[in-house]
Amino acid sequence: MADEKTVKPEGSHGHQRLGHQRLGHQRLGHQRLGHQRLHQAFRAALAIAGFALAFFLLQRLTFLLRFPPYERTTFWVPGALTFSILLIAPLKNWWWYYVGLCLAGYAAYYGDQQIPASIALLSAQFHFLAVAAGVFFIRRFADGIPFATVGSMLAFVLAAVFIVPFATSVPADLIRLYQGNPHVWPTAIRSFLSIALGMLIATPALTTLLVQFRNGWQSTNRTKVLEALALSAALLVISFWVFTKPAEGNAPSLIYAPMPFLLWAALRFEVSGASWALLVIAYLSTWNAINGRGPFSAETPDEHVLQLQVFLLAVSLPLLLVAAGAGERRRAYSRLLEEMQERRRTEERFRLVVESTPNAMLMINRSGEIVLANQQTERLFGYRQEELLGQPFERIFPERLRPEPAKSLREFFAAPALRGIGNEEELCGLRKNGSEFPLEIGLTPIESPGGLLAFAVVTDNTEKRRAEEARRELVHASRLAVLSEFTASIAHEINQPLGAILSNADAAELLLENASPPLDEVRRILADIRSDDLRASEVIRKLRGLLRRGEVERQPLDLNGVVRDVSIILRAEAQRRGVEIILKLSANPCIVWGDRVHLQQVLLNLIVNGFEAMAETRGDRRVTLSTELSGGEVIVRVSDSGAGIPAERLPKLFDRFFSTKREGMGMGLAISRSLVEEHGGRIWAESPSGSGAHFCFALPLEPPAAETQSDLLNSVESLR
Amino acid sequence: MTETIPVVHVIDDDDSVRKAVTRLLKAAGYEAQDYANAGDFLLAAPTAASGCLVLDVRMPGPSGLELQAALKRQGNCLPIIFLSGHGDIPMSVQAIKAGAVDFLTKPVQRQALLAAVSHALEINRATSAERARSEFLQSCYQALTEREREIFRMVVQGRLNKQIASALGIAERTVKAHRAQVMEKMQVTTLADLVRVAGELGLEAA
Repeated sequence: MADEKTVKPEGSHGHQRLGHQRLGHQRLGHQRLGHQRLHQAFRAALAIAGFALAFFLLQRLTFLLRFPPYERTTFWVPGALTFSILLIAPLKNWWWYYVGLCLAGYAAYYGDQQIPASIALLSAQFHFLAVAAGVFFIRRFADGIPFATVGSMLAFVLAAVFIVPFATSVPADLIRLYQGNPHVWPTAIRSFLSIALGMLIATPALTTLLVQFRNGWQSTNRTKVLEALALSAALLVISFWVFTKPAEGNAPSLIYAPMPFLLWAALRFEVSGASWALLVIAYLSTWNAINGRGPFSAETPDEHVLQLQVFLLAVSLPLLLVAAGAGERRRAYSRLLEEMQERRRTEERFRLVVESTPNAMLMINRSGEIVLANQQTERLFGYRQEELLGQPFERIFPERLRPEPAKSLREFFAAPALRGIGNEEELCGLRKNGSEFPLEIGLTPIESPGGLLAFAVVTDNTEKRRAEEARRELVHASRLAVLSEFTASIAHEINQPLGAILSNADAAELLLENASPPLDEVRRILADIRSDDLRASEVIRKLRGLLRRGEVERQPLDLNGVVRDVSIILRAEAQRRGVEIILKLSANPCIVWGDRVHLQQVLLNLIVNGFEAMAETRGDRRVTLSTELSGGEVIVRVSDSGAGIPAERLPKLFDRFFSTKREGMGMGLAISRSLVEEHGGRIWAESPSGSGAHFCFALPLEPPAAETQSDLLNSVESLR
Repeated sequence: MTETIPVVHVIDDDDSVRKAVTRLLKAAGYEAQDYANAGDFLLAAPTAASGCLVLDVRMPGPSGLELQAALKRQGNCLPIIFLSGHGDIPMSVQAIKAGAVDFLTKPVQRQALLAAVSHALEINRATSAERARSEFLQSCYQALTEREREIFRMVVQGRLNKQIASALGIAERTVKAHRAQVMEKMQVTTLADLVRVAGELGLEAA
């Protein structure tokens, strides 16, 4: 039989072959190839011989069922064998069956006086071509396996009843006509019907047999086998009874007695069952008619044949379609069943996943109702699942926050995509007992049979928030600690203008005591008082930001300005320590996205660090602050003129609790690092020999707001 | 003894403080002069002028204390009032030990400042009067001849004319004439006055 699968090399051999190819040993490969060819030739010979033998035997069996005197056959089964084989064989193997057909056709008519060998061979050619045409037609119009659906079955019926019989018998009829045969017309009709009937009845049965033979016998259901046996027995008994009863005038209706059993076969065993049952009926009715028994034995043999053929066609056509329909329905049903089971398994898996995750999970529908809540949700919020299902999901938030999640959910359903809810900094959940806790919620769209759902993953942020709070405290405390180191200088910075104000006021008072007070001088004094007041409040304003424990406020800001502010805050302290602060700022604005206070804190830490590094320095004490744009970054350098830092200490400088100072906590630089990294930047220290230490940090440059600028230009344009 | 108008010299690096303090002093009727740093003062200030200094302790360049030390080395004894941004005790102790008149913290009260300035000027006036008299006596003393100085020392030691004449081997009349010359040159009329002048000149020890 045709089966490419067995030709495939086994896995281990394939592996070996690969190895040999790599090593360049071709000999074994050649040997294998030769072996394969031999195998192939053997299989071809076997297929040719097997097919020829089967065809020959079927042809002989058909000869037994011929009606004398014109040797007519009711249905021609050998053609169905060719049909079945070509239906399942790959095109490259068709020549096997062509050869087999020629051999068998020749052998079947060997010694027949009526039909010479040349005619037999010629009709074999026509037959092969006709079957090939039928197979091409089916392959073109039927989808997948023939007979599997009603549509495929219709394609098969068209091929079997029209195309193949026509293409097989017409050339033979023409030959007969050419030979001067007197009975061409009746013969033509009967042989046409004979071929059609044989194709129609036997092809499904033979095809299923061949397919099973090719795929190996599969163990069938025991009860199915018993049922098949019972059906066969019943069919045989009833057929014997019907077709052996002598013809009794007008009682042909009895011939429909096997009908229920045929339907049984069609509905329960589908196409192959119907086909086998029809074969049984066809053989029994024909056999009995030939022997003068049954309902088809009354008239002349020509009449018998035609009547039988019409009867069998009338029964088999609807039966095969019904069988195909039954098969289609059963397969569709089992597919549906499988899909349902698969869906149930999927749902179960989903449920297991949802229940076993450490997060609370909820599903929310378009109208904002909770349709699913897992055990973690119960645990987190203190509600039982039943108490949550069907409830509006805002219920898990405190009253004052509810509009925010509701708005987020509306936006989510308007444009379904992964998103969070509300303001993460402030979002709180409400437990059943009325307590609140910080949480974070992510929404993911989920398509469900009931429409789009929001899958909400809830994370309890209590710990996270606490850690953030602790860190904020630490950052603030460290800032205060740095500032407290130069409270004296800060007091001086404020005292100076205050002292000036007081003296000015005193002077004004004294001047006004004069008989003719110099009012111009008094006015100048008042102007000076105002400017000194502003100067003092400016210092206080700069300090207030640093002292406050405020929320982080990120905004675009110019690092040059930050450096300038810090240098002002530290001016007095620098003076006190005899340090000169030098600014070398970039001419371009150095805009970064950041929190002003935190960046000032970083600079304070680095500068004070520099001050302390120079405490023992005898020569010039200088701290140089520089900003520089470089490759999409702003680099800020704080360079001192101290003794520098040994290279082995450089990498450890920013570690927590690493301090070289006696009183240092070792927190300043560590906090500076965490603040810089929070801004998406990096911080490092350099100490080139002989030029003090350089503490540097780099922050990503905020791209200039191009649209805003062009908008501004546009509005200026429009104003003109 | 010449009478000069005392000048209050204000030295502070902070423009507004300096300006305000100067203004206040002028309003109070003083002659005031301001300098942004110690160097400016040293270049401009006439050493003999009378007056006082109002000096900021903490300044870039030479600090207030450093200026105080420099002036002392020069023998310039203008009294100094220190101003400080904040009560820096070690610094104030050092300043007072070195002879500062007062140590005031900013913002400075008017009464405190004016009182300190007036006190400082009084001290200055006193010291400059003393100084003028001693300079005058010195110049008188310089006018004496060697013999006259010898007789001056012996007279204030309480020796009699006869004793001096025998000690020097000259006539008693000659001693008398020298003695009259010394009294005249030293612009005194009595022996008691001459003894006091000798005390002021520090002659007893010799």
